[in-house]
Amino acid sequence: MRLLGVELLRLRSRAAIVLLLIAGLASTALFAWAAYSSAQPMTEAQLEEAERQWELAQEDWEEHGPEQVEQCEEAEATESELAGEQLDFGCDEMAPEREWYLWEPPPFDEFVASALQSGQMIMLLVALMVGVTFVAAEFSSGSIGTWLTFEPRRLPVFGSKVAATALTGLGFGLLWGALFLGANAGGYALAGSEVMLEATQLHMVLRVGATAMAVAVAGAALAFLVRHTAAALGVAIGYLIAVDLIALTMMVPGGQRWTVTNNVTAWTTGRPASYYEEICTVEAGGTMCDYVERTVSMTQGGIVTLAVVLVVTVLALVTFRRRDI
Amino acid sequence: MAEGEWAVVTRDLRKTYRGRAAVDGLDLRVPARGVHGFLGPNGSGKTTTIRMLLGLVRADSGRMRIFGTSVPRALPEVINRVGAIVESPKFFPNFTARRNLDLLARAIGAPGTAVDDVLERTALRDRAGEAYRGYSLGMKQRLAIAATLLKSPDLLIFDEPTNGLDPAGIHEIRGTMRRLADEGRAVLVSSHILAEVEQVADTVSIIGQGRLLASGSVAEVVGDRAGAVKVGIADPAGAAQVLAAAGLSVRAEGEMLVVEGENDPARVTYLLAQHGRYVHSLNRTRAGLESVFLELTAGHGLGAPPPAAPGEPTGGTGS
Ligand SMILES: Nc1ncnc2c1ncn2[C@@H]1O[C@H](COP(=O)(O)OP(=O)(O)OP(=O)(O)O)[C@@H](O)[C@H]1O
Ligand SMILES: [Mg+2]
Repeated sequence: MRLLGVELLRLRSRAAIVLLLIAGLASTALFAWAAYSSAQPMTEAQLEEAERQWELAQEDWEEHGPEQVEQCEEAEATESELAGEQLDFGCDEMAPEREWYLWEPPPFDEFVASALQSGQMIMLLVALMVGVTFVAAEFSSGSIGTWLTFEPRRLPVFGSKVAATALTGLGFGLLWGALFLGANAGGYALAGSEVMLEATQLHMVLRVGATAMAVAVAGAALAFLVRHTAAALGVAIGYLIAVDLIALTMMVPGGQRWTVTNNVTAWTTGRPASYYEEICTVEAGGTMCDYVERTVSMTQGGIVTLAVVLVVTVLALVTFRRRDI
Repeated sequence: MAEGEWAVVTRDLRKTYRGRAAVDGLDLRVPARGVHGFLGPNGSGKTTTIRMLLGLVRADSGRMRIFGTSVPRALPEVINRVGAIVESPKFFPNFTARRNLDLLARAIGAPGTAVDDVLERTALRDRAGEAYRGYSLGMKQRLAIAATLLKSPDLLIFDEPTNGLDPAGIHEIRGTMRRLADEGRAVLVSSHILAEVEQVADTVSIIGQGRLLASGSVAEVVGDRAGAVKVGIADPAGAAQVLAAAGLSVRAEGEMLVVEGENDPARVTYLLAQHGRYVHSLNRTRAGLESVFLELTAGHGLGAPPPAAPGEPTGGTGS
């Protein structure tokens, strides 16, 4: 407990870390602007123009509609015969509808979830950097050696540093999530669109906190392993490129299910992260390929993220306990 | 003496890096009081030994005790009695001196006044609010000493503490070590320069290639070993002949003569005076670590470099 207190004090005393955290939190203000722009309802002029377009389309349909439907049905019949099965060209859904011409901002919760998918990058990067630099700087300055002559028990040294990182990551994540939500709500409200705050959004903030905590811990663990800020960030980015982007996405069939990116995204946004898988079947007429949408569930995302962080942390602990300083 | 009466005892301590022995069966004994010089040339294994004692590096084999406590197994029990500076002071560069000390003090639960107290004792109080990275080497060294004093330790380990310091800094560090020893503590100070240590050390251990070569009081280890006498005289060439004829080994060094392996200046002046030659200056130089070391290694048959490469059979029973 005493060591945890000292590590928290050390963390607070690190100007670079405090600046990183503040910059990360301040970045949420950007999302207010994004939300404001996409929540703009249609202006009077835009509404008028939409109505005009809708009327034109209706007139056109009255004139040419039946003809188009007929053509469509003919094509449908011919193609079905060729294929030997009944195809659906959707000929009975060709009439124009009014909502095609009117645009409405997406519902608030939907918008927040999709904004989080890209916005989480900043939060994740800050959390990772905080964890990495907190630990790595002590190795590169050699002050960890001095520290160990005061507290030689490696397990408590490791534990207190990781715990301090975890608490900081959690606090940062919760605050970031709340500010992010607030920024989006502010943007929506300012644009005059409806803001509905629900329990799911509170859950989202909690999940963001948990993610930031996990990523900060992973960063600290990486730093214990490679002992250098640049090297640790290099390993993290290298993993994303080599494993996520190349091996799992391009080489292993169905591998995207296990990418860190998809799993973390599914977990934080709370919506299934989707990706496309190419499914090919060999038939008499040749190879038929199709893209099938697959999803990673939130639960899987959470479990995989946790597992990755645990593996890195245990590896780091084992290494730190045995290795020479 | 029982093991508990020594500050440090190592038995057959070994550490190998990539097949090369850094510490090779070292038996070291550091008395519980006084300054003990830990001498050896560069790369002889001093820092590695200190690291192993402090649990920073794992020994391959051997036993170590600090005040009778087996380390590194029970190091946490005895660490508060040990203050150490390994190689060079290492603190967090962006923190102030005070912050660096404060974190260390909290780790051991030292009272709040301890930091001010040690800053005062090392004359750093006025500049304690400055970032460590801006400190001069001498101030860094003083801060490192301040850190060790946070624990009021019974054993201080200083690894080459005078490295890079100016004469005033060296003098100051020596004074500090002497004072600490006079307070009843043990000070283990490593160096590769004999002259730096012999003035302050009560006892010394000399190691080479990871092995103990000699140990005891400074006088025992160094004092009776051959030094040299430096002679200033008119007509050095003629004087050299006289001395050589008397069986002494002489060489010219500029306008001076150096008589090697001679500890007694009186003998030199006597010999020369007998031949009507009078010296105008005479200096006795003590044997340096280098010559003591060479003599010791020669005497121990470890001798001339290098020993058999690792992996090669050294005995007759080889393959
Ligand atoms: N981490 C390491 N990896 C590989 N070899 C090492 C390592 N640390 C020390 N050595 C080797 O062990 C031997 C002893 O080194 P050590 O630093 O203990 O010597 P030293 O007596 O402290 O020398 P100096 O007077 O130069 O400080 C050297 O040959 C060195 O190269
Ligand atoms: Mg050394």
